[in-house]
Amino acid sequence: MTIRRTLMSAAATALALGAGAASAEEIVLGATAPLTGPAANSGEAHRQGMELAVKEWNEGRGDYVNEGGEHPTFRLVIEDQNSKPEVAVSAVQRMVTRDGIKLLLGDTLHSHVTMALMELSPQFNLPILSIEPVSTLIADKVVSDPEKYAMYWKGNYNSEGYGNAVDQFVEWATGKGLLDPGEKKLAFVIEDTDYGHANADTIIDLLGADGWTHATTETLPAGSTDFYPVLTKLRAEDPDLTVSVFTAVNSGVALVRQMQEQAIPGRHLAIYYPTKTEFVEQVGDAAEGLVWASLQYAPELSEAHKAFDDKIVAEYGNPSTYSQAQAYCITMLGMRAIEQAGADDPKAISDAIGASDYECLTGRLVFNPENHTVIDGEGYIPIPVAQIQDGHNQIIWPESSASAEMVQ
Amino acid sequence: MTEPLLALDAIDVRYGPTQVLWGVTLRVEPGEVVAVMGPNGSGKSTVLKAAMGLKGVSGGRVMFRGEDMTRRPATARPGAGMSIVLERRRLFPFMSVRENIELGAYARRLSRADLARSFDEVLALFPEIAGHLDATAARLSGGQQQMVAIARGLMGDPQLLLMDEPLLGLSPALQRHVIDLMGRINQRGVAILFNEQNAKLSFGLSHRGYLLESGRVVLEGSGVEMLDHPEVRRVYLGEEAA
Amino acid sequence: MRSVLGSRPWLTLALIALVLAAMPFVIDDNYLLHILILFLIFAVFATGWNLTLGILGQKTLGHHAFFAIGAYTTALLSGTVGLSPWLTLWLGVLAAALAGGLIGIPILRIRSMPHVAIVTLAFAEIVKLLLANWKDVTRGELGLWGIPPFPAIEIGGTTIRFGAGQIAGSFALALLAFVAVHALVLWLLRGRFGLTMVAIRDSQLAAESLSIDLTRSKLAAFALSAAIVGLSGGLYAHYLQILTPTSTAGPEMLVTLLAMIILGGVGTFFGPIFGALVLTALTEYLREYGDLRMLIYGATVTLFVILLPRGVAGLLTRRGRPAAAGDEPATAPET
Repeated sequence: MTIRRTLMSAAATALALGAGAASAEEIVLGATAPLTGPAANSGEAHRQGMELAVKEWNEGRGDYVNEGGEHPTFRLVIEDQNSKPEVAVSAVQRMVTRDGIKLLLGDTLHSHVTMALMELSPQFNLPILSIEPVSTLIADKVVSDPEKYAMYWKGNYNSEGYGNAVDQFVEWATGKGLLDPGEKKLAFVIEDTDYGHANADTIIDLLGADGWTHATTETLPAGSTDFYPVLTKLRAEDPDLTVSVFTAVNSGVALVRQMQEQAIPGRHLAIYYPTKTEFVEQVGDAAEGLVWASLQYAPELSEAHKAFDDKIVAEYGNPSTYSQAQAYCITMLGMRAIEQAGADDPKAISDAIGASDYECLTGRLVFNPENHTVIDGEGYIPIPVAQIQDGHNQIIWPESSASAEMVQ
Repeated sequence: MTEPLLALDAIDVRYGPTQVLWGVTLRVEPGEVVAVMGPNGSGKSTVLKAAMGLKGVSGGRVMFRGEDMTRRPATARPGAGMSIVLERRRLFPFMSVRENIELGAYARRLSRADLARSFDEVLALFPEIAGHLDATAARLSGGQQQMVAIARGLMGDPQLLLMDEPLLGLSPALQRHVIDLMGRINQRGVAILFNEQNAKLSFGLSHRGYLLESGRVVLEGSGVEMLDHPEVRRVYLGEEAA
Repeated sequence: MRSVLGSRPWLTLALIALVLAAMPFVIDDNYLLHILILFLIFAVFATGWNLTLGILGQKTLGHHAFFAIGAYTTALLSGTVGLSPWLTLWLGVLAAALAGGLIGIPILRIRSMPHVAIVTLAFAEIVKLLLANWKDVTRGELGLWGIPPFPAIEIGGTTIRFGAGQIAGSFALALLAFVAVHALVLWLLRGRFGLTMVAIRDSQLAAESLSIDLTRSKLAAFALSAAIVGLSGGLYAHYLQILTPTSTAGPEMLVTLLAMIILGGVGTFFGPIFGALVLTALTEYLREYGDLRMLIYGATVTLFVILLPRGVAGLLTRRGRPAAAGDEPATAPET
């Protein structure tokens, strides 16, 4: 009696879990994204970008490598990681064992999640392509053990990209008298993630070489919205330039508003969160004149971006941001690699990714073979600095592609 | 004069700030049955707990077989030859009757064979529970549970068996049965110190007795003397003064 | 001890082990095996915790801290320091056991169960905060990665590999740990140790009067319980190869594991195993329901507790259980 019951319950569990096998024709792509939690709006944007890419591909409208040839059909499986690395790791285990994914697009947003996911590449013999993460730590990891991370590729440039842009912009703006360096005191308010730290560290190094002194770095958990204690401290430091780094738009809105209320002295330079279209809407006048990096995607200013934005609006009923575009481009890049390499050899897929040279919405995507990271800068991926003027984003640097003059 | 088996020498006991025993002196000679009698709240249960070490004393000494046990923990008592049958039995309700009784020999660390022998010897006194050894203790009737509790106490092979309110809550028939058992245990040479509210039962059963009031010994003597004492007769036996 | 162990515990355990051992040959689905590996690890965790919570009857609510201590110790010593995971696993177990003994000391002085619960809960929170803030070493909530899998071993010309992608080897290892831990616990519970634990749970006064040393017994139980939980943490660390303070010592772990023990049958030997099976499977199954997940999860647990108040294992040991107070069995004559 006892034994039979034990057996039956085990069998019932086995049955309950057995659902969901993949169709043989489709090649399955897996992705981990923050569909819930503080960065859920980024995750949703990534979902839209990835799904649109797969949809267009399957409907004969993809950016194929070989226009006339046969194109494989793809199916996309997206799992939520709730911004937590361990959730992402178990999600990937599930996608590999249950769905038989051939390529992981992951993480779509977080550097710290990507750091954990990279470890799975050799374990599962799985090519991994991350979408938005920029932390240089990831690239450093690849360089430290090229064999182990041979099949990992980083679809976004390193945090030095931002750092370099911020450094060159600050030099340019002070030279032009548009930014008053004062005593060259530098402060940071950042989210406590690899992304936040990597950006801050790079900027400290680069501006430090130009004579800036690092006054303070205030770190808060990703998704924070209460900055008053931190700002009180910041005001006492009296910085000439404050750099803030957050991925959650809520945090950005709260920070910019509270900085205005508290009348924090000096210039404020924001990183990442103003890329979200809802940022300007939500923050209102408090953001007027805010300088930020990086306006890589601007439907207001670019024809190609406008066309993509129309597609997103038509498909999902909401405007697009950089995140949709980046997710779209990297997904397309991954599918192009599989088109060339076939789905059966992970190594071949990885090699094809590494050999990509693909001009997309966000720039020309070419990987550096040494650190497996896409190359930024002139001729590759531009990292322009923007300013919010009259409630609209304008590119103010580099001068060659500026849409407006910087105002003080 | 031989050394007493148990000697409480002017012990004080407190529960927090409240003192419940005041200089209680009491002894049990080998093979004796001794009763501690007193009304509710007089501290008679505390006397037994203090003797067993389950309640620490704040003054005085507890001597057992000439050894000072005052500062030694309760766990040292069973090995020295003292067992207690706790008030309201305190069986382990989720264990079988056999496991309950066998645990009585915990301190003796017997081999399997010696344990079985000891178990059979003790069980001979309790034919009424022999048929329920594998039942869970909580399923037994109150009377049966009392037998198990006493059997558990005997498994420690004590020279002195402390019995805290052994007759409480039993029917008259069961009380007679337990009294009979106490007699048989005593015949085996085991001294018994027990407490009881009923004067007739207390002093009728015992060689000697103590009367406790408000934490102090107010009277002591042989069982017969105690029963005859006018104070006992008046207050506790409800008789008019002669 | 039948109320704890059921009627033929060795036979039941052997059959459970046999059924589990057959699984990789019966089901050709790595995803199911992956879930079974998680189940095996959590069953070890639940059984270890149940030693103090159910068998010893101490309302300890902080055992996820020992899970984290076991996991982080072996992860850091193998990943950061570079020792072999086969060695560091046991160092993690040792660290957890020491922590268990340490937290046991203040617990001994507390007889009020709500206070025991609060002290142990606070302990777990402290461990979580330490892990979250000691970022230079643990990386905090960003997650500790770079935890190596157990090195492959060679048996009779076959190489057995472990870690996230190696389902067969990982399953074998988790099953081995599961069987070893449960055999050890069963052996202990069948002996003096088990009687001692249950005696303390049922009546501390009676236990003490029988010369059971409460201090030593409780400390031993705490250390053993923490060691077993630490072992499960180590297995988890080298299998998933990623740790965060919240995922190991956070409230979700507490709730899930408590639910496993309660649903399975607190204080019974087989209960936590059933609880771990049901809830590990349920957690995975409910992933597809997104935000509804916790709602369905909670409803299921509530339903189980109402329908089976003694847990799943209560079905096995029903006869051994005492009747309610005043419910005298007809077969027992009044003497």
